[in-house]
Amino acid sequence: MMKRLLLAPGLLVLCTLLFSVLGVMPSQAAKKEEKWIFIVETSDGTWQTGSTENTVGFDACGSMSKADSNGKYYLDKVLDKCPDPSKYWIYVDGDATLGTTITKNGSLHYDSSLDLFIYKGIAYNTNGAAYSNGHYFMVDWELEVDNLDLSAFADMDPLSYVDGFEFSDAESVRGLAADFYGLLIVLASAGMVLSLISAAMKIAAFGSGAVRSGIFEAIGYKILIFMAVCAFIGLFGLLGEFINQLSKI
Amino acid sequence: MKEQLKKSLLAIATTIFYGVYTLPIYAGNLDASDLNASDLDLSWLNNKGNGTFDEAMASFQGIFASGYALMMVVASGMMVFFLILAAIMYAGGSARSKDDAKGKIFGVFIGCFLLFGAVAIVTLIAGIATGAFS
Repeated sequence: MMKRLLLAPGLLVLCTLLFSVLGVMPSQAAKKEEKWIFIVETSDGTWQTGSTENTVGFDACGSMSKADSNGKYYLDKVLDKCPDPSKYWIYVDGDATLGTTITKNGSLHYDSSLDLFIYKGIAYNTNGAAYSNGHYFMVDWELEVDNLDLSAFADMDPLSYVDGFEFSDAESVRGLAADFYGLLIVLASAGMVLSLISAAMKIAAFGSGAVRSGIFEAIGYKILIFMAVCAFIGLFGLLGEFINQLSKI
Repeated sequence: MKEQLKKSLLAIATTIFYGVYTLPIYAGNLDASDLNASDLDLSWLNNKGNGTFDEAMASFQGIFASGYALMMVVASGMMVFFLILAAIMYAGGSARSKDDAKGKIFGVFIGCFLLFGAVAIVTLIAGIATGAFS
């Protein structure tokens, strides 16, 4: 009994530690990844791409057609290539002469006189000093903009670079953790079924009162551990919300 | 004494949970303000993963299904055996052995409930536990 008492919290702590590392680390890495992808028009008229972490050495991705006079662009192809667009912003080079707004819902505004972007009420510096025409529009992924040929993106992985931790790695770790959790649930379920069958046989064979209650006690502990494993996601979601509320105090 | 020990272990476990869970966040040299609910939201664990263990899991499930079927046969045989044994004890014995036989029959019924309801019980518990906090 003593061993069991010590074993249960120990196993739960180990599982928690494992899931903490596997779960929170990619979450933070993803947060660091909330950088920007550039699509810039360089001084020679070609379009190039890069990220904020790599503002100097853009990988050339060929020429692209210029935007039309309405200042509207197609971003569908980029959207298709990004697995989780909500985490990313995109900067599209804009010629100030084309106009100042490429949004249709008012959440984006480019103020060429201040050289700032106003995005959801927050001003951002263009930070494009390295480029002669580095006026970057910040485009919300939700926007539908027209007429920009982004065919040059076909062979590009715009999400490949993030501060030493690649986006694909984060997704991979998340996927692995999800797989591991799934495996854990399957193993735990199988273990519970075997435990119940084993208990059934013991109760049938040694069905006296004291022995039976001992068996039920053992099963009870196993059920508690199994419930803890199954409730892990919801439980720590609540804990997360609790910590979040505490941090606001 | 035992009760106090249980409480102490629970308190220690809770403290460790809290510590280890938030440690990786702060270890990343992030401000506390960087912490938000989405960081601690692990609902993505319920999503489809990379399929890393799919093959192993399918293999395990196949083996387990065979093992489960075998165990069901053995355990069912045991139930029948002990039920017959209890019936013989009840039929031919003294008053005391009749009481023992009743206990055995009761045990067999409980055993049958657990045996044939094992999968349903586990599914029910998993369903309740998974949905309890979500």
